[in-house]
Amino acid sequence: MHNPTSRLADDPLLDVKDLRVSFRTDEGLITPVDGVTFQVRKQQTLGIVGESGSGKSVSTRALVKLLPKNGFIDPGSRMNFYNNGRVPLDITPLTPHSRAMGKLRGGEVAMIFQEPMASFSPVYTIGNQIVEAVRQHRITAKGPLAPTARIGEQIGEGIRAARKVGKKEARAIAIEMLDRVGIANAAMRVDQYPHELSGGMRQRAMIAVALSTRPKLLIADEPTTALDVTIQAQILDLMKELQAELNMAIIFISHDMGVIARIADEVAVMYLGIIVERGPTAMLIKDPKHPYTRGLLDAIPRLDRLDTPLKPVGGDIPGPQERPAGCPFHPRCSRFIPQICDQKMPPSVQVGKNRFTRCFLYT
Amino acid sequence: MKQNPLIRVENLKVHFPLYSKGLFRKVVGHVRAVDGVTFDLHKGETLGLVGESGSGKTTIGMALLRTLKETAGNISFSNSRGVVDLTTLTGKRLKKFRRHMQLIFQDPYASLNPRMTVRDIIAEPLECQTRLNKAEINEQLLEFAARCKLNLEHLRRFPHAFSGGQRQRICIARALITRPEFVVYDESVSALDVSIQAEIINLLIKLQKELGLTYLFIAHDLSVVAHISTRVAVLYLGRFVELAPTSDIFFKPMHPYTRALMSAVPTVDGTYTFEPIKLTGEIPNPADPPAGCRFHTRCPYSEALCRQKIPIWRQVATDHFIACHRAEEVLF
Repeated sequence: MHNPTSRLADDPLLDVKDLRVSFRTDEGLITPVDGVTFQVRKQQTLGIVGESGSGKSVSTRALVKLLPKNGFIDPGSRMNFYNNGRVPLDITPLTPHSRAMGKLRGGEVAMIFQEPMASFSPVYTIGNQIVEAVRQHRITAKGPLAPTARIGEQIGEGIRAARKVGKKEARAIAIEMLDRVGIANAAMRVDQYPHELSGGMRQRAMIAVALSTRPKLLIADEPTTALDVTIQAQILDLMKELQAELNMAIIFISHDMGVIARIADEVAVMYLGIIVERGPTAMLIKDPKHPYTRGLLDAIPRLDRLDTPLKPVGGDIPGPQERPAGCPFHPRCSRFIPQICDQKMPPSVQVGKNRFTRCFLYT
Repeated sequence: MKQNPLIRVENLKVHFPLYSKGLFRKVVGHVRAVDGVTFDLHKGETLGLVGESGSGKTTIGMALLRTLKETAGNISFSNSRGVVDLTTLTGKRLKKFRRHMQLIFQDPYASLNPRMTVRDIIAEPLECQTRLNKAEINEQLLEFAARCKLNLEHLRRFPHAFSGGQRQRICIARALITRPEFVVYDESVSALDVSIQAEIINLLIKLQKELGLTYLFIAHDLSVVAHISTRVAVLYLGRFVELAPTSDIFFKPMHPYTRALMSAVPTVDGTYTFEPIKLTGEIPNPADPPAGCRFHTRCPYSEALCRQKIPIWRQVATDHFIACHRAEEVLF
């Protein structure tokens, strides 16, 4: 087992500050993501946990500009992507159809979703869909240049290298990727259609598509929720392996704390549009600071506590229109402070090394 | 405990025919969704059914509730009024009997009629199944609404005004109002958020004690099953591989498949109670199950015997049954 705390280098790949996403609806403006700040460090996994309506999916959709038409990102938000070097690329002002965004999405930032059947086109073979991604995003890499090559040769080589990958080569990459994600008989599977694969197989193929462009960041939105536990364990192991191999960072979204505990180095817990707590996984689970995190951990049925009854978090999750004033969790909170929690949004407070929480108990 | 079981299932088989293409649609084979399952359900207990998708969990539930016709086998139901063989019930007699058995589905959004008020939804089973007058129905309605923590204000509204947890409570009230003896939960808490799920599980346990209900609890989330079940049965490709009291299944599993399943459960603290077994591959096609032990294609311990002979269903400890040739050899 890896030790998540030992390699928390302060080397962000993505730095999101005060992200705010709103939707114009018939009932007025709703803001499902209301000031979210987090970092994804290079080669690490950030887990985002939250219940339905917490805004975990919307905030990552905003990152790749895949919001529905009525959604928009507050211009005051910052989403800095440190791809190469120290000068970050701010994703916020990019328009969804811009060239830069098209290069980023699916290229340097790849995504996989819960429903692999919905993410694949049913009318193209798996291979075609990988080839498309590869040819769109990857440029031929013919190995490093010889250091002895003259400058002119190097430039010439550079220009030639900037071509798209050829079809044959792309197909070879597709087969290699399918093989790598553990699909047996990849050379045959590459010409099959998505419906010919089983659920677990499709999720593997989905991972192959996403990783075929060698992304720096993979956004995985509930990738194992639709799978059986045995298959889920296989997919999680595969993702960890590939992460080490490709040196990529992962944002892993899930509602299942157990899955997050298995894969993430750091966790961000979301509730109704804000991150109530974030920090290194093991520490956060061992010693949760925010009452919601604590409640969530107590509500999970655990095998080591079979004889004790479950402790539900009281109340219901309010709908997007009826978000409570002040701290969004205060109507359900066991440690609610009248006159404070229902008046103001709690600020983010540091409560330990790399640990932050938004709760008035710690201010 | 050792009185007559409420439900006794013997050698239950449910096969679905596969047809060829073309005009005459010849039967070319069968999907053996459930293929020879035997178990008892005792009054007041909860039997958890677990297994991967395609293992036949839901089919067993449907066959017990008589919404699917069995291919072979017996299902007998005994209560204070005597023993009934469910497989022989048809027509009016079956309809009359249905109030003793109820079902709660996974998706509370899909299982409530959006055009009916909550009051009408909960009262409907009584109107269909009994000859109670309005006042009596109302009395029952209020009792069950209160048991499921719904107030008078709620009863006037329509389902869309409720959250997932509240809707599932409406479904529970509707199912229990005919005072059934047996309830099937088919993934009934799977669609709920964790903080809400705990509350529903606690409610189900409380109602079971108060009303003396017997549950068949189908779920893919093993930790949830562990919390609610008295005994757990593990299914693989239409057959039971292991059936034992909950703590045995989770902490002393004998069958390699159960061990693999239990060790795949993601736990928050990252600990295992025993050495995990990693499974490779996926569940085979139930239309063409492997010969011998159906698990042999994925089992790390399979040998020639497993490929040839179907393992018999045998008792290995008190209330602990397995179907495996080699469980004792490979355990240590």
